[in-house]
Amino acid sequence: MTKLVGIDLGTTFSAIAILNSIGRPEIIPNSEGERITASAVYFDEDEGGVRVGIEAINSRQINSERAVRFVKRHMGTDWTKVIDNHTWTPQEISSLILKKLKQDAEKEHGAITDVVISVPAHFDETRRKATMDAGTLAGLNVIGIVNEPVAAALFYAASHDISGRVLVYDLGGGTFDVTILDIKGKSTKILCSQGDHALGGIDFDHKIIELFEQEYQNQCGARLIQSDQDMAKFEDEAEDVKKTLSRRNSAKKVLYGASGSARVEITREQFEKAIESLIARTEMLIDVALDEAKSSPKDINKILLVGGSTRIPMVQQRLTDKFGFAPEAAVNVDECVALGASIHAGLTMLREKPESVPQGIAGGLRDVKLKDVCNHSYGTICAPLDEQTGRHVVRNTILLKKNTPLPCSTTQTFYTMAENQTELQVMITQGEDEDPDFVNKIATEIFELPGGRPAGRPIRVEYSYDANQRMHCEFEDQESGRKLEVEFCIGKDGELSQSHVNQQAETLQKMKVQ
Amino acid sequence: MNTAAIIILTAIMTASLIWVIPRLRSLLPGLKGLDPYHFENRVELLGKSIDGAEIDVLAVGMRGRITTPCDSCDTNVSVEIMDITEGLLEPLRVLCTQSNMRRAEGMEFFFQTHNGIIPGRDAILPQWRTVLELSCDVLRFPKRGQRLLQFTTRISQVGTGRELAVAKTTLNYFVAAAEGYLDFEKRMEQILAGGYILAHQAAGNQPNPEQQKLIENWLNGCVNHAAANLTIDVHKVIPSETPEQAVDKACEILIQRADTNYRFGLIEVCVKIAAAAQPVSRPLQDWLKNLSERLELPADRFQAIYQKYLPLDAQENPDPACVLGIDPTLPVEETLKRLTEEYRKWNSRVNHPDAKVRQQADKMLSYLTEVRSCLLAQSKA
Ligand SMILES: Nc1ncnc2c1ncn2[C@@H]1O[C@H](COP(=O)(O)OP(=O)(O)OP(=O)(O)O)[C@@H](O)[C@H]1O
Ligand SMILES: [Mg+2]
Repeated sequence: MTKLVGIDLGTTFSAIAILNSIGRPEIIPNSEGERITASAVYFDEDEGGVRVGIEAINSRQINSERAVRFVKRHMGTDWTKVIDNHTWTPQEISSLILKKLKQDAEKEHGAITDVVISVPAHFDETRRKATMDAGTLAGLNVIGIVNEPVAAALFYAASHDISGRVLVYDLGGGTFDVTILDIKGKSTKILCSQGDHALGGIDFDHKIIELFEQEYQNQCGARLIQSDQDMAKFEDEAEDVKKTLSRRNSAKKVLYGASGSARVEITREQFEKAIESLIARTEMLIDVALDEAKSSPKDINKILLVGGSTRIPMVQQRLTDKFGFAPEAAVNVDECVALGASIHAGLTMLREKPESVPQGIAGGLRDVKLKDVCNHSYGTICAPLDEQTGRHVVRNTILLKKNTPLPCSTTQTFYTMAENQTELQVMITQGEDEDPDFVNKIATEIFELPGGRPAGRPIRVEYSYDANQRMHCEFEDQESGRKLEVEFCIGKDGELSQSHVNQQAETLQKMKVQ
Repeated sequence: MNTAAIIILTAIMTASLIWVIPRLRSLLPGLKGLDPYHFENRVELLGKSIDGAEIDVLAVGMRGRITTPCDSCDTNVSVEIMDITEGLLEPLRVLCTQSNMRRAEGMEFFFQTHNGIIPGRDAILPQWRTVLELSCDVLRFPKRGQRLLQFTTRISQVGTGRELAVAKTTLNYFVAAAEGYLDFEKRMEQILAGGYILAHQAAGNQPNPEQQKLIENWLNGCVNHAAANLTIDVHKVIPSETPEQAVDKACEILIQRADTNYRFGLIEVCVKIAAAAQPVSRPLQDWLKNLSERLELPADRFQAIYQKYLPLDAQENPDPACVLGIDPTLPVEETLKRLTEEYRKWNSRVNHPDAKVRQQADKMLSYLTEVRSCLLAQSKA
C-alpha cells in the first residue's frame, strides 16, 4: 500500500509524518520516542557509524570536530566537511538525517519511499534541488517539495474550520519565512512569501554567547570561547538560557572557562535588547510581504505561528503590537510543517497517480485544495533600448513574475540584434533584478538560427510553470518555426547522474545510522 | 547596419570600345590648355532612396586625354576629397568611416581602384565615365553647413605609381549631419577634460595606482568610442584658478555638451574611483551624490550605481541619503515605504551564487534595519 509521508528537514530539528488510513496526518516518533529529531550528525571514531539526533548532540561536546549541525544553512553551496579523509557535501549529510527518519519510521510502518520534503519558501532552485538530492541519496523517492509555511497553512486549514486572510510567521532554528494566504474552508490560496536565509534560533543563541563573552571578560578578564569545542559547549548552554528566558524573567548560569568559572545572570530585558535588530529584520520582511500582498496589517485576520523560536515572548508581543491582536497558538509549532508536508504528499499523489492512493486517504483529502504561487521571478537576458540614453543595454527582463498563481504561462517576443545572426545565446534567469549582475543565471543554451537574414527577426519566448514546480521554456524562431525547449524540474533537470547517485548511495549504505 | 552604405562602380574598360587614338594630339604638343580633349573630372550630386531614407550620393566621373609612357599601360584611378571652404592654403581633411576608403593610416578619405590597360600612348576617353558613386553618410566633414569640396581624380601607372593624368573640380555641398568632426573633436576635448577633472576630484586629486588605472581605462574607452586619437591639455581646455572652480566649470560643460550616456559612465567611474581608496569619507559620499545631481542624473539610477559599486563596508559611517536616497524632509511613512522597497530588492539578492554579492546583500539588510530602527525611534521621540 502506498504510504504518503511528509518530512520537515529543519535546521535544528526534523520531523516525519504520515497520512493515516482516513487521510489524517500523524507524526511518527523516532526510535528514542521523540516526536522531533535533532538535525545533528556525529561520526563515530571507531566503528565508522553515524549518530543522528539527540545522541549526536550529546556526543558533539566530546569531539566537535566529528559533529555537524545546522547543515541546512549550507545546502546548495560548496561547503564541505572532511571526516576521516571523506569529503561530505551538505546533501550527503542531510541524507544521513533523512535516513535516520526513514529508518525509524519503517520500524512501525514498513518500507517508505514516496515523500514530500519541505523547504523554506525563499529557498532558490539550487537549494531545492540539493534537498531533493539528499532525499534520493537516502533512498527516498521525492515526489514533491513544499514550502514550509505552505505546509503549515495546509495543515492548519485542514484541521481548523476558518476563513480569512492569514499571515504565517515561521521562525525556526535557522530560517525565517513569512507567507500571506487566504483560507476558505479547506482551500488554501497562497498570495506571497518572503524569507530570510540567515535568521533563526541559532542567531539568537549567538547573541547570548556574546553576552556570555562580555560577562566572562568582566569577571575573569579572559576570552570564554577559545576553540570549536568551547563553541559547541556554549552554544548548547546559550540555547538553554534562551529557552529559560521564554518562561522566566532571568536565567542564571555558571560558565566554566579556561580562566576559571563565572556566575552569570541574564535578564529577559538584556536578551530582548540583544536580539532587537534580528526581530526588526522580521518586521521589515512582514512589511515587504504585506506590500506584495497589497495588504495592510488590518487586512490580516489571523497570524499563525510556526517554528520553535516563536515561543519567545518578545516575538509574540511585537506581532500583537503590530497587528492589534494576539497570534494564533492553535497548532503545534514544531510539528505542523511535517504534518502539512504529508498532506501535500497526498495532494501530489492524487494529481499524479490517483489510482495508487487508498480510498480512505482520498476521501479524507477530498475537500483539501491548494493554490500555490511561483516562488521567484524568472526571466531572460536581452538588450532593450534604454530610454534615458537611447542605447541598447544588457538587461534582465522578467517573464514570469514572483507570486503568480500556478499553473501559469507567459509569452513575449524578442528580436534578433544583428544581420545574419545564426546564434542566439539564451539565458534563463531567476531573480527580481533588472541588473544582470544581480540575478542567478540558471541555464544558458545556444539557439541556432538560419543564416542570411537581416536583424530584427522575431523570437517568441514562452515560460510556463506547473503545479508540480516544473518549469518549461520554449524559444521559437517565428519565421523558420525552429524551436529550442528547456525543461526545468527541480530534482529532475541536472539531477545527480544515476551512476553517481548509486555510487554515493552505496557508500552511504555502509554507514550505520542510529 | 551597413546595407548599401556605399555603391562603387568601376569599369575595367575594354580598349576597343572606349579609347580613341586621335591624330590631332601629335600636332599640338605641350599645349594642354588648348587641348579640347584635356583630362578632366566632375562631381554630380544625386539623391538616392536607400531603405526608405533619402541619402546624398556623389558621382565622380572623368574623361579626356591620358598620356602613358608605353603601349598597353596598366593603370589605377584614385579620388581624393578636401574641404577648401577656408581657402586653398588651409585645406581641411574629409574623413571616412569605411576603412576600405581611407589612406593606410588615419581616417582621411582616399579611394583607389584598378582602372585597366590603356592601349595606346596617347589615348582619349571621349565620354564621361563614372569612377565612383559614394554615399555621403560615410563621410565626415570638418564642420556643418555650406562647404566647398575639392575632388581630385588621378590616373597612375600600376607598379611605378607614376602620375599620368590629374584633374580637380569643386562642389558646393551642404553638410547637414549632426556635427562636423572639428566641432566633435572640440566637444570631445571639453567633455573628456571635464570628465578628467571630476574623476580626479573623486580621487581627492591624489589618485593611487588603482584609481589612476580606473581613470586611464575609462578615458581610453571614451576615446576609442570616438575613434580618434586625442591629446588633451586639460588646463588649457578648462582653465581654472581653484579645484572647486574646475569642478564647477566641468559640471557646466558636461551638462551642456555631454550626452546622458557619457554622464552615466562618468558617475559610475567616479563611484568606482572613490571605492578604490577606502574608507570613503562622509564628505566624499556627499560629494558623489551632489555630483550626480549636478550632472542631472535620475536619483534612482545613481542609487543603483552607488549601491552596486560602493559596498557599505567601504564607507565611513554610510550616509542613508547617499546609499538609499532618503530625503530627511519626507514624511516618515514615505521613508518607511522606500526602506521596504529597498529591503525587498536586497533580500532577493541574498541567494546570489556569488559570495561577494551575498555578503553585500546581507550587510545591506542589516543596514536597512538599522536605519529603520533609528527612524522609528526618532519619530517616537
Ligand atoms: N521555548 C523556546 N524559546 C525560545 N526558542 C526556542 C524555544 N523552543 C525552541 N526554540 C528554538 O527553536 C528552534 C527550533 O525550531 P524549529 O524546530 O522550528 O526549527 P527548525 O525547523 O529546525 O529550523 P528551520 O525551520 O529554520 O529550518 C531552535 O533554535 C530552538 O532553540
Ligand atoms: Mg522548521
